[in-house]
Amino acid sequence: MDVTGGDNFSMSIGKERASEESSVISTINVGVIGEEGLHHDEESTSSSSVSKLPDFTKAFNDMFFSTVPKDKSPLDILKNDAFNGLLAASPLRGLAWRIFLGCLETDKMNTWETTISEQRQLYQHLVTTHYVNPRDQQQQQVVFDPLSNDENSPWNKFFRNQERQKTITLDIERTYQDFEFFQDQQTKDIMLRILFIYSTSTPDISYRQGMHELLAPMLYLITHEVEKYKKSELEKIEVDPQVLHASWVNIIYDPNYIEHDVYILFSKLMKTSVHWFGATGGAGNTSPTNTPVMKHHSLSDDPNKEPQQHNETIVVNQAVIKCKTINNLLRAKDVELYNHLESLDIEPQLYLLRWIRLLFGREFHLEDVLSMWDAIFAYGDNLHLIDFISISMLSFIRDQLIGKDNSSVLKRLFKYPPVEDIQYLIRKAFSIKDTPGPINNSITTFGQITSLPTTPSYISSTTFTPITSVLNNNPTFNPTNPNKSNYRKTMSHLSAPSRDDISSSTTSSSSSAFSGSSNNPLSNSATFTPPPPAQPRKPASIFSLTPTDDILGLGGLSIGISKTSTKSSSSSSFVSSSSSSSTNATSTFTSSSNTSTSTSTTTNTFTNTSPLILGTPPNQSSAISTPSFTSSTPSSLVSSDGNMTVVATSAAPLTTTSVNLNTARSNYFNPVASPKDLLPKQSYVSKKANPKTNPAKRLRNAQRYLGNQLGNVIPILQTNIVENTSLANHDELVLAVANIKQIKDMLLGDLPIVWDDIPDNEFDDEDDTTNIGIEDPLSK
Amino acid sequence: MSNTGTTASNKSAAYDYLIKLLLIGDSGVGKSCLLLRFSEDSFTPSFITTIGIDFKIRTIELEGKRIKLQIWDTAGQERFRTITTAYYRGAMGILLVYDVTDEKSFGNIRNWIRNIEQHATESVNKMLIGNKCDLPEKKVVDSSRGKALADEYGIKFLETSAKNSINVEEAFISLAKDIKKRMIDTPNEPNNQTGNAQLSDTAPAKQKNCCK
Repeated sequence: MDVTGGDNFSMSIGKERASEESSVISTINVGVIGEEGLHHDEESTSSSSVSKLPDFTKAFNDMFFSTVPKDKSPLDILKNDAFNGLLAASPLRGLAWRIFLGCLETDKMNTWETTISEQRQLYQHLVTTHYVNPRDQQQQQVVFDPLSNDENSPWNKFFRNQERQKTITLDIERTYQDFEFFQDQQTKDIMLRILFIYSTSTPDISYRQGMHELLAPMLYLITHEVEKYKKSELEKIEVDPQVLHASWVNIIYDPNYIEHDVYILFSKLMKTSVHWFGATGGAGNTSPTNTPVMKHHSLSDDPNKEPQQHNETIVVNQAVIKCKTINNLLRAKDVELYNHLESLDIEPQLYLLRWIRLLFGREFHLEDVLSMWDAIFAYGDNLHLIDFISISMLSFIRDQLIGKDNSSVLKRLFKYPPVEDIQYLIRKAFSIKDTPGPINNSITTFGQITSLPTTPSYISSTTFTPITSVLNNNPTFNPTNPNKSNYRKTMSHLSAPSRDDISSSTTSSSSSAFSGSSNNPLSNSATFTPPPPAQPRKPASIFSLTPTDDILGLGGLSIGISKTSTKSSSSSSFVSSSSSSSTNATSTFTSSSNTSTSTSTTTNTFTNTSPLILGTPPNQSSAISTPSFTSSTPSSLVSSDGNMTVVATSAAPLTTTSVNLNTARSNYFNPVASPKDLLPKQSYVSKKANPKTNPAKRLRNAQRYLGNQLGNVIPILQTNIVENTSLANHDELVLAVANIKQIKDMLLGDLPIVWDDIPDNEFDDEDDTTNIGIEDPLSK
Repeated sequence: MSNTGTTASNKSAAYDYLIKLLLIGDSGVGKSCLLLRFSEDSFTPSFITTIGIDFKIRTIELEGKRIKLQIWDTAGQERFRTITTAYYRGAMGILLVYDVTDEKSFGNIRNWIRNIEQHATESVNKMLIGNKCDLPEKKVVDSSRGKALADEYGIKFLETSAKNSINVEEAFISLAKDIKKRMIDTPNEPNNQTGNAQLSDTAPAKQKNCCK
């Protein structure tokens, strides 16, 4: 059947991204399960440089059967990773989804085997029961007349089922047409079966358009994971006797049950999502004359018959309710934008409907969609995070909506612009969630914190370990440190709507990144995931206070753990350090002691704190942002174990942080990670942007601004470090401060930046997609 | 609404009248492809299911007037009025699309018309479109049946092919002409009042231009 129709906007998006996708596909090894698939995979592997297969067994054991005691549960670790974009690289991503969505429970691992087996049997049973060809049945049954009108006739059922299958097939044929994987007949068959079985299990809703695009990413992910697992097993020529729980992994990644597992996963997701597909919010429209079956049939397959059901005129549509809820949230967060959309008579459901039904599946590249789903699923609470993501997305394109006319606004809303860093939108969503009151949208200044990327990675590595306890085991600190008030004054002009953002969405990742050292009790409280919605905020959020946000965000001298860190406790964290991080940490703590609402908790935390942090030796400790610095005394900046401990006096709160300077630098010098991050990518892509948004000029502004910020902080450090000659690592600290000062001078133009000393491929090894394709305007 | 300043606003303001059209019909009959053909003069077999609603814009010139067509493309499976009444309410013209190779989509046209009668402005201009006429060997709905149905409701009828670009332009332009005639050239007939009111709903700033 020649099917036409489609979404032009999305289509063109697909085309824009086709080039990116092609490379993704080739490395991801789309293929069929079975021998054919393996050949395909082998070819791609040999031709690509990607290659290093994840060790599933190891990842699994590290997560669930770690011999190293962990301060966090596997669930929390997985959630952390999900919120921070780290799950994408994890071989446990699919498993994490199954856990997040409730297919498996981490606190009942002893039942997993049974649960998984039961789930698979359930699906098998549903298929054999509902996916029937009456011809196969005929032998066992009384003869039915195919032309009979008998509702119970298997033929009647068959014909109705056929209609439904036709509808589903129509959409499957239109699924991710740029992806080879979805063009494969086997994939299509699996999707048809799953969707058909699902629609049978929900007669009120049946199949609705869009469900197929919720299923597709799940099938894509699970299939690829299992394939990678198979390959990794093949590569293990020798059986590793150390493998403790290989059987778990074998069960979980059993290639024979991809379809079954995806069905369970999909049906769990649909428990919430189905409400946004239903045409009605309840049984209110059930025509009494219709049997449930007839109703199901007429509703699902013949929407047009609906007008005949007159008692339906007042329809409560859950999807519309959801859209209005989000719209109300918009009013609370950005009333100007809300009013603007209202004045244009743009109902929220026009654009939000697709967003929420597909969980943003049409708005972003598939890989980004997966990352977004990581966070949405991990957050749970009936996918509540989508509300905040929606606001985050609107906020992101705000400049292209405000002041524009009806058509321009609609065009932008219906064709969401490409986004460099999907994590930005997620972080922003958390920030919106955690910050009461409206978003501060005075974007034009860089002091505007909402406009800053609150990169989880840099925050996450900022683990606070007060030195106090190390030095004299005295948890007390001086809350009236004069420097602190100076500092706060300095920073007070910065608005920081996203203060909780740090604690919730970002601080958390440190535990996973630092799992090797995570028995530090501090990380227990200082690092945690965005709390489950039902729970009150944990005291740890105390640590993330406004100034932190400011400095970290502004500085972009962000302390980073890169995405490459894995959960394996040994390999996870690379830590280099710099005094810039200490700046952050110190100032953070300083102000936190003041603004904290729960000082006792704070104190307590410090009391229990074990000494210094943290992490394994840096891979890139010498990659320091300034050439001169690198050449001068790189070694002296880093202690022998690669860590640098930043110490302050007891008067100033003491902290130790870890920094990847390379990441820090990339966050700063990379325009995408710069404060402009807040602005839509268009500013870079299309040169026709508002002259005000000239990237080079904005970067220069940012540069100056950041330099001044550093300048405000350096004296505090100097006071606290330079004068305390008794501190361990004192020399390093002094040098580190000197280094910050150099950076500051370079930012302010007092020292030249030696571009030649910065390799062009400096960021190539970073698993950071935000760097792709971005030119450094400063280099021109 | 602010039209001040920016290029975009100026550009979008470069028209005399704004006309809102709506495409409805069963899933897969080619509504989105028709729209793509009309708005961008292209066709792609790489289509994608419309979720909820989509829209496109094209500005045409009719009898010396620049007319901006804002065309809403709906999902075949969607029951819009449960989503929004604005789709129908604001529409000045509706294209009812069926697939000439799909009997069921033709049969459902009556249901769609009932749907319109309930929810759209009474005076809305309608047109019946039999799409995919490039597939004569698969055709199951004869042209005469389409014509008969259109006559029954007193609306125009065209067979189109989005793929081969047959009659697509004609369909949209012809509908736009009828609307212009009804709403702009002879705006004083009572029927048109509601239409005008709806227009002002969505484009208040354009009301004077559109509906004087």
